[in-house]
Amino acid sequence: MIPACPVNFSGNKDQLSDIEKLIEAFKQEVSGMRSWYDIAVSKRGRTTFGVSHLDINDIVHLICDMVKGETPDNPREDISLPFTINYAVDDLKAFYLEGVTAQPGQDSHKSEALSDWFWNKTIAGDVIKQLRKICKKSKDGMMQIVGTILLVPAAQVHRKK
Amino acid sequence: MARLEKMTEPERVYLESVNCPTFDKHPWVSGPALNKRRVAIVSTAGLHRRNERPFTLDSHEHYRIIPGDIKANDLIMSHVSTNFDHTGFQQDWNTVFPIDRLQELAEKGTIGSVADYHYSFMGAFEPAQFEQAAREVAGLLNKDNVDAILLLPV
Repeated sequence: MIPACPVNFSGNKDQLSDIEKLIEAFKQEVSGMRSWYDIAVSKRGRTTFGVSHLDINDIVHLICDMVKGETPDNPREDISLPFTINYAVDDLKAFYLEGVTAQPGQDSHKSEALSDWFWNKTIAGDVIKQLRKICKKSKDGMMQIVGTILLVPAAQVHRKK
Repeated sequence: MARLEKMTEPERVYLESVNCPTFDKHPWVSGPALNKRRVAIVSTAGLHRRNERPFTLDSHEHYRIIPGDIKANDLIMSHVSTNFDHTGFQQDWNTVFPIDRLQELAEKGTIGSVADYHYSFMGAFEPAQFEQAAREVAGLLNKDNVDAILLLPV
């Protein structure tokens, strides 16, 4: 069969490491959530996204760089990198939770159900758990604090499987 | 309403270990009738204007001023704790900053008026560390002729 386009842009995913596969899946999930987030903002006329002062693409890049084990440049000058990461994660959660609650039949979920959904049903939740492990191993004391107590809620860390 | 029995064990154990302050004197005072009072909101939810620097664990930076005419989309939250549930605020800002409800009460005459300025702390410090900032805010509230506070320990 002749492909619709002779150039294959997808690459060979079998050659990707587990982390690279996680990141690819995360980027795809964020793209899928973007329309719901835009609808949520349009419906509510407001958003709580924006505390990091970064757009969603920059947030994804920042988090992915960290998850790959790199130390990215801090895109903000007024707060340190650990807090930029903390607020980037807050914005990512806002992006998902505002988006999912704009979907049909999803506007009256309890906060516990939304938290369980984000942390246990999304790839973003898995990515932040991976980020937490990396931050906890950092030599930077504040990054360790961010990883230990500021990224994943205690209720999810201690959640019984 | 948050209830201890609904919390996870680590959260419940921590909250039960926190000392409640005691007072040598009776701290409450009487005042005018509610329909004569000027009311301000004081929150600990880490709220601030969208273009402001977020809260961090900087112990010299305890509170932010929120103008009474702020628009809903200009108010954001940067409480550092991930245990702090943002979903109510995402769906309706009145869950943490009930300015619309206060305006309605003022229009009905249930309260006298709504203050020009409101205040948000980021409640991730020992209460005693807030004393100087609390005294500053009390002075500012006095200048705004405020005589009732809606405290929101979110």
